This record gives sequence, structure tokens and C-alpha cells, in this order.
Amino acid sequence: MRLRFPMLIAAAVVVAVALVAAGCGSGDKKGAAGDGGAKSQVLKMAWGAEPPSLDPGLATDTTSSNVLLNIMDPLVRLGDDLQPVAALAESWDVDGKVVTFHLRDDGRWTNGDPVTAQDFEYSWKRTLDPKLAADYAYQLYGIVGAEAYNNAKPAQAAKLRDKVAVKALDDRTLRVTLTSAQPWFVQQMAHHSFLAVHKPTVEKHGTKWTEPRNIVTNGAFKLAGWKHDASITLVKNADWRNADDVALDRVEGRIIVDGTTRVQAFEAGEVDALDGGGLPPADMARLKQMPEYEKYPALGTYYYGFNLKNIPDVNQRRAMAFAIDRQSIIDNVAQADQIPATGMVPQGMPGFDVIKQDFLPTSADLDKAKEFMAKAEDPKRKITLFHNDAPGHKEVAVAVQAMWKDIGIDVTIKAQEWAQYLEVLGPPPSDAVYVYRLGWIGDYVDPMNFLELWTSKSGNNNTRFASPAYDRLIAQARDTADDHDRYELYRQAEAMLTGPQGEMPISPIYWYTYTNLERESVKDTFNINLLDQFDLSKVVIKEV
Amino acid sequence: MGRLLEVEDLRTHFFTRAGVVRAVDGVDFSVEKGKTLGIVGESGCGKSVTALSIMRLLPTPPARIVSGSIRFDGRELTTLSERELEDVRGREVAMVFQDPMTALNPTLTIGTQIIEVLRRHLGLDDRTARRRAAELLDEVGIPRARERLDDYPHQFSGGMRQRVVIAIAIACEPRLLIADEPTTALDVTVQAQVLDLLDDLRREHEMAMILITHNMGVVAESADDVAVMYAGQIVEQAPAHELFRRPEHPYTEALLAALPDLDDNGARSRRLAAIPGRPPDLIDPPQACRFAARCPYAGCGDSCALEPPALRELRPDHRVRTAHPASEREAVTA
Amino acid sequence: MAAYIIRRVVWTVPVVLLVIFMTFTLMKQIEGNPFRKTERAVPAAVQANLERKFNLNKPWYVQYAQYVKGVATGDLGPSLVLRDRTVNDIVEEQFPRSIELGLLAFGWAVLLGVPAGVLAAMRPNSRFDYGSMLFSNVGFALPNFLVATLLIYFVSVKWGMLPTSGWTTWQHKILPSFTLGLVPMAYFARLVRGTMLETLQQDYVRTAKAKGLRRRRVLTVHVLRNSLIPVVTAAAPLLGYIITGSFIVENIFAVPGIGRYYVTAVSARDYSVVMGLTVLLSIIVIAANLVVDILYGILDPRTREART
Repeated sequence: MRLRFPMLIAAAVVVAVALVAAGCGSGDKKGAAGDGGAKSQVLKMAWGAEPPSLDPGLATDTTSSNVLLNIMDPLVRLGDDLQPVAALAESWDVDGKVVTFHLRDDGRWTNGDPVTAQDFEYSWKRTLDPKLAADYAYQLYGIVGAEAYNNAKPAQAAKLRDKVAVKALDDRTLRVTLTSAQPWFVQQMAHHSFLAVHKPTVEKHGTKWTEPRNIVTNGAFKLAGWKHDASITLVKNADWRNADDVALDRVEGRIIVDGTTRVQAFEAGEVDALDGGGLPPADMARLKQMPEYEKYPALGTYYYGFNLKNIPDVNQRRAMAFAIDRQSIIDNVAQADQIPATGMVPQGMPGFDVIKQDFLPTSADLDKAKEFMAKAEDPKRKITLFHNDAPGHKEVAVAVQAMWKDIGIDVTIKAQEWAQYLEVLGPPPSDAVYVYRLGWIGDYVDPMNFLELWTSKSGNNNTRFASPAYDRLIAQARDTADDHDRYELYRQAEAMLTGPQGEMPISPIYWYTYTNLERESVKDTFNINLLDQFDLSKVVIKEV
Repeated sequence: MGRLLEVEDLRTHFFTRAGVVRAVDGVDFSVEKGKTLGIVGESGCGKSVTALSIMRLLPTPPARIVSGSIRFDGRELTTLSERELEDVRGREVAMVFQDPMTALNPTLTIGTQIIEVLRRHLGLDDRTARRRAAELLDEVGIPRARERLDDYPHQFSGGMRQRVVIAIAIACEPRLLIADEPTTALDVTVQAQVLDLLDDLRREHEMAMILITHNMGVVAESADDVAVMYAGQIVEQAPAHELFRRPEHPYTEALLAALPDLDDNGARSRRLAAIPGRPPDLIDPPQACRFAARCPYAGCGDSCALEPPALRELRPDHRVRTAHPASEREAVTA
Repeated sequence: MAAYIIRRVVWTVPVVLLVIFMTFTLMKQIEGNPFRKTERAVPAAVQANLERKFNLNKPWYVQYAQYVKGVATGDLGPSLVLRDRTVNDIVEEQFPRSIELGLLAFGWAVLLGVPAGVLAAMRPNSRFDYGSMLFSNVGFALPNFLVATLLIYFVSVKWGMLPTSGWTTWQHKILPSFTLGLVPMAYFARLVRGTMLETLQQDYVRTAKAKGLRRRRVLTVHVLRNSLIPVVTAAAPLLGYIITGSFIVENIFAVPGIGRYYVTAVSARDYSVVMGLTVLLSIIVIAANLVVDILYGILDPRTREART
């Protein structure tokens, strides 16, 4: 057989086939065919991750949350003052532990069905169903019977389901009974875990109900396309109750996971807004100069936690907290205009002015630190500092290492891969850990979300800090409906943490900000709130 | 006369980093139609380079034919373009190389390798070429020729492969066949067969042949004329029988003396006569006689160390390049 | 030859089983909770529900058996992290893109690397030769994330010639495939140059010339064909590079393939995705090796006896 340069031919064929396949294959339509009339408003943006799930019962991450909140209608949204604003619920009554929502009558699913209270009852119970194994089921534990149902063995599940205190009294009325006053409950409805799903669709399509060809939603936008790992396309829902107020016709979202590539896509003009998922620390200095740079306050605290077993002396912990130059870390390391954190509860939280302690310094106070160190009995001078190996944490650790050296402490820094890191932290933390790094982003807008972490049984308390007095304060606050009284309780709790007499189980470092790039044409109307949510129905692309 | 090939003052040098190697430094000879010229000499004397120069198969950096003329049937070969040469090679002049194990492409069938030369020069169509190829294999003595066309070189023994190489060489009936040590890599028994084959083919196809070898016995068998090369030059040229009967150049004499002589009584007890010394370095060859350092006759006060001897015709058809040819030596001592 | 191929194919099964076993064991050795994605602790009830749903509460041999049964029937299981999708979904949708990326990269390598090597061998020690070998060394030395970022910066952002990222039109596919193809390209250029220089010295090339064959025929039939045999054998290990290098390229260029996903899945402890992709990739590597072996047998007749 005569094979004339078989290799070259084979290679040429392969390349030709690949190119043809590429050309015929996934050809995204570039933008909607604008049919005459007014110029259509199309927002091109970049999402920072592939949503692991668009099922409100299963979604846990920010991207899924933001997509869901734009294609579904929550009962309430958060206003500029962070108070709940009527959305699908036009009003609500709070009577002790019973909350009753009154739904609008013009809520519609995209297949025409009206949105009813039964939808919500079904959806919340579905989220609590142990078979669904929803990660965020615990968000609903404030409802009577919820935790028990979620905990149920398969045999008892059906019985316990009926005991969950969510009831649709009629098509428009939803009543919920809570385990304690939880004054923030209504405002929690803005979280995606409380969205309703369309029962017939879910039952018909099973796990595939979220695919664009199957999905039925009820929000300002419809999920027109979802190319996994590639793009998410939303189009205006003309049948939405407030469709007339929505300016955008289409949102074309590309999924770009790498931070630097996202910025490059923005700079090349391929997208006009990023999703607030963070800008690469290495580029911050340059990006801050751009007119498109935007910064938003966030409800989140970046902190170092102490393992009280290994650093038992409170004076040493105070010394270490005082030695950290928070402003310097923000200016030189983190560089995203964060705010130096002097307490666990972040600035911007309602009640902050009452709660804050003014004890910890924003820059280092070395003298005070050395004073505290001198008071410490048996101070530990050789310690470990653990952090996970995501970008940015090492630089902070190195800076703090130098700062602690100034008070005579030798720090060994240990970086770990995320999942293993979490194993090391427990709780209880491994004995190898002296200091660790974590952050906490708020789920809802109330200091409880930040302070309940430090109760003795909390799965998020990796410090071994256990104070019955603290636990009592928190339990009491849960039942205190009056904001004013509650904030006072919170003040006492914060004082027990970061106040002058506090145990200092943690040293907060900074309060987060969300940094983003937004084109001038959308900068005014594209806004990210404290909970990292943005409302696309408010975005207008103006002429620049 | 019918001189098919005339080589005149051929100089082929290699331009290397170490210096210019004057591998062929003034070679003259000619080959007549239908006759065999044997070129003998020890390794490194320039005989292969001479052959490759005729076909211009030397890599042109670093080699270059610096001067001289090679006329084939009146046509000057040294000035031909590569394309014109491609028409000459394989068609008018063909070559058989020394090592049959590597001379054939291992990934092509021998049929392909014969057919490609037939199609190239004779324009035969596939079927005719295939038939002709089988005939050629037959002619060189390969049994079951037709089936073996589809075999690969590694399926043949050394001797068989050399026959294939010969078949390829004569495929287009060239007028001159250059065989560069065609039997050196073969067993002794096979050697004789191949030499006979070459001889038969030459007579059949009326080819002239240049037979290059370091083996005096081969030359005695097969050559009509013989040229002896040493250090890049021809030192003696004569018809074969004349050379063996009356060698003139001290080097030729030494070569002949070095042949083991099995007839003599006491042959076993006599040591083989070797030629003392080594050939000169061709990067900087001596300006005078190149054999002088090893010559038993070069003495003080003669021209050997001062001037290079010219190639002179001592007798008709017998030329020598030495100051001390045998015939003149006898005259002196006598 | 047919018997040889069948034998090789049959051997794939025990190899794949071994791969599954090793991957399974290794994944179990790495601690880490696949259900804890953020720093938030997972409440006990939720953890129990998740483990029950994904059969992680069964003993390891039951899990292993279930998994092997799944593979045999072509069901690679649900993803632990991407709750709406199964591993089969992910593979069907995203794997072809990775294959396309890999093939295009290979195409670049062959289309640019091989001719560069050929031309360099034909003009040894010329400026072209030195230039292309320098380019080849640089191609090896530069890490591909650096090349990727530089290309995006200059070609996309500064000059606006090509898109920065994505995988929709053919323009999108140029930069990522070129970046991934750079090391194979460099490798081929060097390899082909070397083998060609070697082949050009061979006696049979001289014979071909002595036959008066046209230069082009000597080059293509005698020289190139034999020079390219080592290139074919080099293709199989290069596949390994293309598979592992694609993780970085897919990440930076936002190519929705499985390369990026593979590594993310390990960090996320998405057991079924990791297992499924490992099985898939091992089958591919085995198949690629088999193809190379067959090709080699076709190209070099001396080795054919060994393949019976």
C-alpha cells in the first residue's frame, strides 16, 4: 500500500474536520435581531462562576442566588435602607411569633398559572424534605417543625412534614409560625432559599426542571439560555407584574471563572459589567484608577480566630489583636478600600452605632500591645497561623507575621487546600492550630447572623470559646422583637467578644467591600447591595 | 577510441572547521565504452570521493569540486544544474554502493524502489513497470521474483539485497555503472557471485563500469584497466595484466607484495609484508611526492622531497607518478 | 493485525477497573467534606441527608460495587456539587469541547511545528534554523498561563483582533488552541528537525538521489515519511500534556470544557465527577496509545511482525 505522507494528510484532515465542526457547532447568535423600533437595551455582563444549581432549594452560592433573584419573584426585597420592601407579598402582619404574608394577585408563572401561597408552602416544605438533601435547609430552621422534619428518618418523614408550621390559608395568604421572635424573619424572605418553585414543572422534569427548555419562573426576567459553563441569557418577562418598569430587554451573561480574564474581557469591551465577584488583588492598584471602578460596602468580616486551648491567656490575645495594623493591611495588601474592622459586627449593619466597641485600634497600637503581652502569664511565643491557599490570604498572613514578631512572637505560616483546611478547623480545631483565618458574609441583615457564630454549640465557632453567659444573651436576643432593646443585647454580646473586658476569641481585621467594574452607561443603575445581590430590573443603559 | 568518461585534473576538497581536506587532488583517468576500470587504493585515498564526485552526490557544504573537468560522452558534468543532473543519474550513469544493508529504504517494498526509477526515467505505466521490475529481479538472480516484489528489504539477506541494488542500478540501462566497493560488506562466497553477476550484466547491457575496491584480487579478476590511488592522486594507471606483471610505482609494488602468497613453501612462516608508516594528512598534504615518507627508494638529494612528481606515460597506456619507477630503478642498479 | 487489536481492546477492561479502584481509594484517602463548600458549617441533619442521598453512608465496598456497576451500564452517577446535572450530562455537553480544543492544538502543532522542523533541517545552521530553534526553546520554557495572559493582553485587549475568552465562534478558538499547541509545536519542530537531519544522512537517501529521482520525491517519499515515524510515537505522550495543560488554558480562556472542571472537582471533593472523568481519560489514553501503535505498524514495516 502506498501511503504518501500519511501523517500530513491525517493531520490536515483532523484540523479540517475540527474547524468545520467548530464552525457548524455551537454558534451563538450574536445578540438579538433588533427588530426596528426603539433600540433594544442589551446588557452584556460576566458571571464569575457556573451556577451549581438554579433550584432555589439547592442553590448555595452567590451566582446562583443572583440569577435566581432576577428570574424569580421573592416575597420581599431589600430597600436602600435595608428594610424589607414589598415584592410578591404586598403586605405582612407580625404578631409575636406568627408572621402572615398577603400575596399580590398579579403574580404569574411564565406558563400563565397564578402564583399562589400554596406554591410557597410546597416549596419551603420541599426544601426541608430530607430526600432533597438541600444544603441551605437550615435557613428555614426558624420555622416550627422545620428542623425536626429535615432531620427525619424516611419512615417518619411524611408525618413530620405536616407538622412544619407553614400554611397557605388561601391562595393569597401564607402563615408562618416561628420558634422565637426572630424580628429579622421578614427581611430574610429576600434570600433565595425562600423563593417558590412551580410544582407541576418540578414533578414533571425532576432534576432537569431548571434547564431553559423546562424551567417555569415568575420574575422580571426569563431564563432564555443556559449553556453550561459558558453563558446565561436572560430576557425580559413581558408578563411580569411590573414589566413596564423594566428597561432591559436582554441580559447576555458570559461565565468567566478566571479573575484576570474577566477584567480583560471588560477592558476589551466584550462585557459592560462584572458581577461583583471580586477583582484580582494584583491588579487592584491599576483598576482603582479607572472611572469604571465601583466599590460597595459589604456585610462581611475578615478575621483571625484564636484557638483558646493553645492561647489561653486573654492578655496575649489582646496583645496580638492590638499589634495588627489593620489600615496598613488594607492599604498595602488587600487594597480594595476595605474598612478596618474593630468588631465582629460590620459597619453598615443596622444597630452598628450602638453595638460598636471602639476598643480595638484601626492601626496598630504597639505600646498597648506590648503592655498586654507583659501582663500575660506564660505567653506562647512560637505559634502557627493557618490559612487556606486562595489568593490574598498569604500576603495578609505574612504581614501579620511581621507585626507579631514585633511583640516577640514567632509565627509559622501554614497554607492548606480548602477542604483539608476545613477539616483542620473542625470544630473543634486541631491542636496544631494556634491562629486561623476565616471570613463571614452575612445571610440576612441583622447582627444576629454575625454574633450567633460564637455560641458554644455553633458549628462555625472554631475557637473553643464557650460562655454560657454569651449563649444566654444570644437566646434572649432571638426573642426580643424591639430593635432598640435587641441592639442593646447585641452591644453586650459584642463587648464580650471584642470589648475591653471581652475574651477576644477572634481578632477582626477588615470589613469587606465588593469591588466591581461597570461601564459608565450602567454605573448608576447597576448596584450591588450589602448582601451581594443586584437587581437587574432596575438597570438602565443610558446614552453616554 | 570511444572514451565514454574522461576525468581531467579533478580536485574535490572538503571545507571543514579543522581545515580544507584535499580529498581528491588532481585525478585524471578515462573509461572506455564497455570496459571496466578498477580503482584501487587503501581506505581514505579518495576513491569513493572520486566516484561520488562524478555523480555529484557529495553534500555541497562541505564538499566542493574546486577544479577539473568530468566529461561524459562529451558532456561536461561539473557545470550541469541539479535538474539536469537528475536526468543523468540513474539513466546514463548509475551507482551501486557499498553497504547493502543500508542502501535500501526499509519502509518501502523493493518493488516500489525499483518501479520508481523505471517510472522516473522511462515513463512506464504501473503494470509495465511492475513486469519489468520482476524481470530485473530475475536477471540478478532472485528466485520467485514476482512475489518478492512486495517484500521489504529486511526480508532479504545481505547478498540478495546487493542484487536488488544492482537491479535498481541497471534498470534503465545506464551506459556507465559505478560500483563502489560492491562486495566489501558481503561474505566471501557471495562476493564471487556478485562480481560474476556484475560482469555478466556489463557484457549483456554493454555498460562501462568503474569498480572501486581495496582488494587487489577483485581487480585482477574483473578489471580491464586499473588505476592505483594514493593520498588523493592517481599514482599508476595501466591495463590490468600489465599492472600485475610489471608494476612501476613503489606503492603498487608494495601492495602486490602485501598479498598473502599461498603457493610459496614456507608461506606460513613468512610474515605478511606491511607498508610501514601511514598516509599523509590530507588537510596539509606534502608539497612534494606524497608517498616519499614511506617509499623505500626515496633518498637524500633526490627530487622526492622537493617537487611533486608528474603523471608521466612510461609506456603506451602505462602512466606513473613517481621519481623512481621500477623500470628506471633496474637501469640504475644494473 | 486484527488479532492484535482485539487483544489490546480486551486488555482495556482490567486496566480501567484498576484505574477505578485506584482513583476510588485515593479519593477516599483525601479527607474533606464534599458538601461543605464555604466556611459555613453543615448542620448534622443536612449532612446526613446529603450522605444518604449520595450513598456515602454505605460501606466502601458497597459504594465501589455500585460505582462499577454504574460504569458498566454507562451511568457515571450524579455530580455531588452540580446538583442539577449528572456526570453523563457534564461529559456529553462539555467533553466534546475539550476534545475539540485538544485536536485544534494538535493541529497547530502539526501545521506549524512539522514544516518548521522540515525547513530547519533542510537549511541547517541558517538564520531560519537558529530562529526556529530559538522559538522552539522559548515555547518550551514559557509556562502556558503566561503565554495565555500575554496573548489576551496584546491580541484581544490592545489590538482588538480576537475575543478574550469563550468558545463560540471560530475566532474564539484561535488563541486558546494556539496557546495549548505551543509546547507540542515546539516539541515537533525540534523532533522533526532532528529526525530529518538524521534521515538525510542515511544511505538510502543517497541511493534515492543516485537514482536521479526528483528532489521533491526524495524529500516526500524517502525522507519525510521516515522522519515522521518518531513523530507519530511522540504523539501519545503529547496527548498527556494536552489533557493536563488544557486545565489552565480552559480556565484562562473560559473554555467550557472538562479540563478545568476536572481539577475543580478534586478540590470540591466531587467524587463522582472525579471518578467519571478519570475513567474517561484513562480510556482515551489507552485508545490513543493503541492508535499510535497501529499507525506505527503501518508506517514502519519492520515492526509488523511484532504485532501479530
